[in-house]
Amino acid sequence: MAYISQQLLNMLQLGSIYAVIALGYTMVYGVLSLINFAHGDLFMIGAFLCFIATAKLHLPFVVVLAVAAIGTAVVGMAVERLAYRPLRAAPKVSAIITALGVGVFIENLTLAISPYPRHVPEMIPNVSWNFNGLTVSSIAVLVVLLSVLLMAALDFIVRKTRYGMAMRALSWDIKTLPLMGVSVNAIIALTFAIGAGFGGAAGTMYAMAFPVIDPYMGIMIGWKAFIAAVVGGIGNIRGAMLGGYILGAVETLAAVALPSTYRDFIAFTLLLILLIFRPNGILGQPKTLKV
Amino acid sequence: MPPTMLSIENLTVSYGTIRAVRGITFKVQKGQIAALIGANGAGKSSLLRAISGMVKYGGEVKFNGTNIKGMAADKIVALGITHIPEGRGIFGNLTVKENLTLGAWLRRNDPEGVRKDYEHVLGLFPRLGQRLGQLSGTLSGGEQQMLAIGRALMSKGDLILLDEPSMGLSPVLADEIFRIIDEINRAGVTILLVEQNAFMALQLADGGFVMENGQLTLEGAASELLTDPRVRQAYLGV
Ligand SMILES: Nc1ncnc2c1ncn2[C@@H]1O[C@H](COP(=O)(O)OP(=O)(O)O)[C@@H](O)[C@H]1O
Ligand SMILES: [Mg+2]
Repeated sequence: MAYISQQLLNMLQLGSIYAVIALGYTMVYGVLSLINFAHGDLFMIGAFLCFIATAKLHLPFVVVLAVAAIGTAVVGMAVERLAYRPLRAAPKVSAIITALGVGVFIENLTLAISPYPRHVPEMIPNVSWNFNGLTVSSIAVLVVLLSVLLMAALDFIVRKTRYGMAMRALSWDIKTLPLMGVSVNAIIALTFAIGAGFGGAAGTMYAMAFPVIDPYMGIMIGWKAFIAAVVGGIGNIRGAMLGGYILGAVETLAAVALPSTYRDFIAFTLLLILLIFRPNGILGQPKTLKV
Repeated sequence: MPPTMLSIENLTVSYGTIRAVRGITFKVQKGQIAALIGANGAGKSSLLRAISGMVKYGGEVKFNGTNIKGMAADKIVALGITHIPEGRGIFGNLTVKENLTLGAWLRRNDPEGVRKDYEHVLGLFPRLGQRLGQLSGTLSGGEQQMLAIGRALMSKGDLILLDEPSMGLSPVLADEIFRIIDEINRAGVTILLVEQNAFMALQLADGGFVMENGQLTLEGAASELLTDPRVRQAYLGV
């Protein structure tokens, strides 16, 4: 019993991180129908910014989180401005190829600056509580709480604020939106800032839970979170959260039942099977950004 | 003669090799309704898209004396030009209320005025008031046109470019829409009205222009155009 609860908790922690990354994919896709394949690498940048803020600058946790999220948001906006905006009128495939290229560029840039894996020091005191054999760590609690908070914030932004309204309008009809006096460039920049900012926050959460980071960490985790977004129904905010938790669960359970080398194989297989039955994801693929 | 509000000079619009507008020159006076009529494909919508900055063009467009060529579409809205595009341009995934709110995007510093205009729009179109929380994609064609006009009023422009408001509407609804266009104009808004329903448009308008194959072929007072044999034969079916 305690063992199962323990695994459930692990699932929740991992799923929370996937969910926050998946939200970044879904934001950009939901608004622009563009899959930002560099998103996994933005997540990695977030983890490295977290490392710098923690190991080099010794900043307190809340500031570390802000530095990582805002720093990554700025990088995300720069990527949009320099790589995607010039291609906005070009066929979608050009943007996808560019996105992959941007990802490789970011990886190699990081590799050039800091090629070795880094150990991220503790950001909050790592306390564990014991409930009838179930160990709950302060880190797991914080990771789960943060993800819930971030999701609620995003939900609020998209549904209730004027900028969220403009994002939804943009996803419906990008040509007509300027006729309302709205700057499409500004709304797209904001969308990328939020999407990348979530990647940066997720990088911090990851570094807190799994404190060894390296320049290639964004590739595998990025792909997984992307699949989580697709499984939930890409473009759908609640779907991204659901997909993230499902992926976390599948991975954790696979690791319990089978040798750990099978983990990714099992996880991907199950997700692919799921997609055969629900090709548009669990919550369906909307034409536009959905909450 | 009232002052010129909109001045178009030798305007051309091309899509690749298709030359949709081929050198058009005309003026719209402040406070007027100018009707632009012409068959499908004549280039009317392209002309409006040029004025509102949605497409690149050759020639000049001046609004209240200011050259607005090359300005971004959202900046042109800020100057006071509101374009209700062909097909209405409703954001179907937003509620009726959100669409109206979006129309007032640039009026953040004027919440009092926005609230007044909101009440005014709901007074003009009571049917919108009953559907504020409804997704606007589920509205009927007539209701969507009302929403498009209502939303345009929320941006409080001095000039409204209106592209075929009667398209797809029953005669009764079209009458209703034209009555409201008249009311808006009486309140001081200048209107450039593109229509295929030449009869209704010319009855309402002060001046009219006839467009064929990207060029102006006739222009004059609306009352004259209504009795012009060429207009009667080609556009009024008599
Ligand atoms: N986006 C576009 N791409 C290519 N051709 C277009 C486009 N929009 C309009 N056209 C062409 O330009 C010409 C004028 O079209 P339009 O301005 O829509 O005329 P109207 O509004 O009078 O029906 C037509 O031949 C049309 O096919
Ligand atoms: Mg047209």
